[in-house]
Amino acid sequence: MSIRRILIMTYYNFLPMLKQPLTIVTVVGYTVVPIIFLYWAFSEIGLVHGLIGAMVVSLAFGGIFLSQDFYYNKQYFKLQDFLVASPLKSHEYIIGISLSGFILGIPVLIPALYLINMFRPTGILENIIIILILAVAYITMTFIGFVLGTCINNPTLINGLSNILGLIFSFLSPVYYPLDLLPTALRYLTYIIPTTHIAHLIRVYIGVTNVSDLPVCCHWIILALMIIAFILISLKKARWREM
Amino acid sequence: MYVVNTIELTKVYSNGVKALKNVNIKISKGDIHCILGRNGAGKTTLLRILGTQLMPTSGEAYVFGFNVVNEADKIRKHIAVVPQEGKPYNFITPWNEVYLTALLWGMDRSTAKSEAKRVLEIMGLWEHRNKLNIHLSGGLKQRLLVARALVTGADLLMLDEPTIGIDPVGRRTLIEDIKKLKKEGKTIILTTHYMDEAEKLADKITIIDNGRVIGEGTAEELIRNAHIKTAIYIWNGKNLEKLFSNWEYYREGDKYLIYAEDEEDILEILRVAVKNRLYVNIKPPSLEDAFIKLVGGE
Repeated sequence: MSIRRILIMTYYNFLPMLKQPLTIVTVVGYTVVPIIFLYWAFSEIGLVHGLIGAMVVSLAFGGIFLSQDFYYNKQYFKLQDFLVASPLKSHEYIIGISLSGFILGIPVLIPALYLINMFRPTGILENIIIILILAVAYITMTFIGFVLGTCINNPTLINGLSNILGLIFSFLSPVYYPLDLLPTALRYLTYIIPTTHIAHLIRVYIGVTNVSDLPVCCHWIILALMIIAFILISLKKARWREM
Repeated sequence: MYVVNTIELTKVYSNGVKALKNVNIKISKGDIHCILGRNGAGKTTLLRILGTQLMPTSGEAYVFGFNVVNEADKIRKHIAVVPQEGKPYNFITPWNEVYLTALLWGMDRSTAKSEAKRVLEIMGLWEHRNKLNIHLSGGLKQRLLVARALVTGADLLMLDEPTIGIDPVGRRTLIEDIKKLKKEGKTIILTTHYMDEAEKLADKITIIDNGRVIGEGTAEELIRNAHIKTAIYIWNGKNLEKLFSNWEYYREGDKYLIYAEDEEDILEILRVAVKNRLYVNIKPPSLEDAFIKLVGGE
């Protein structure tokens, strides 16, 4: 794996976004607006939950919506065809594109993490763990995006699916509010959504009130299994070199 | 050693479509090799297999002596493709497109810069290097895709219908650009369905129809082997089928195209035409005529 090729791919995919800053404004807007309501309704604790939600959502949305980048690179620009016949490897391409989307989330991530630390001072180790959780979760989302973007040939379907998945990962799972606010039956249902575990683990490491039916290690195990499963599925199903 | 060598290469898609049937092609170093065929003939499938983008179903294909199935990584260091109907990113400049490609292929910064400059100049894009791609004409965008392939330094360029959708002036410029690439020592595989393009550019031509190779050679050889002496176009806007039922003819709109094989044939066709006051156009056979004769004129 070549870090250099990954970073070139990241820069290449990020350049058009720099020329179109509206995308960044949209991502920031989508994720930050709920925080304002949460702060208005629940004051400081609402703000902290909102900031956690914003971090998770900016990455979940970013990762899933990269499916559209993968789709257009393959079907419209035919960039994937050009790159398959190059020294670039498929995982370098995915990670490169993934990082370009990650940069898009930075205007949300850094201020959110800073504000969280201001209201709920958190140790360096916990902060590192939080960043790692977010990064790994984001790369997983990108792999899902890659499967969708390379296996589906219909632009309307890819657009609809990424919207629905974005909605499920961002708003149906308890990312802007703690798990214990949900009724038990719904709580179990949200365990099948990876962002539930991501948001829960971040809350645990920040130390905001959060009650779960499962011990922390179970959330870790479920999240790890989901990540492994998503990556395996994408490696098997995603189309780089076609059969 | 050939740059490309395929042996009984076959591709059957998962929906059962047989795109290539036992294709045998050899391409020599430094040649411009045109692959001609109608839409859906199998040209792109062949190019995508050689470009290691698509797996063959059976048979063998070697590029620079490496097998496309299990030695794809070795091939990818020596090739670059211009995909059919490819487009550059809209909100990026030609400079970034070409320079970043050079970096992606492993060049250091200064080499990448000098190569990007050289290639943009060759392709007539230097003055446009800082414009956003969205502001480039269709012809310039297509030249940019060729520039992107050229900057890789690949010895073999695969251009899949690079002139499609470009106006005649842009097409002529791109053809001249492709000729320059040959002077740079590149081997080029070009798919097209423009006969004039193949005649102007190709050292060798392979005609594919319905997944099979049905003709191979230089343009002259293909014309000679089609055994056409003269192409005669006849028309007057009416149905002339009965008049020319003794000859094998092809329809091109309201025109009837007959390939005469000897002088007696020509005189007899002209006699019928004059007698019935028909418009007649006689011309020496071209590659297009050889192509029509080979693939049929439906």
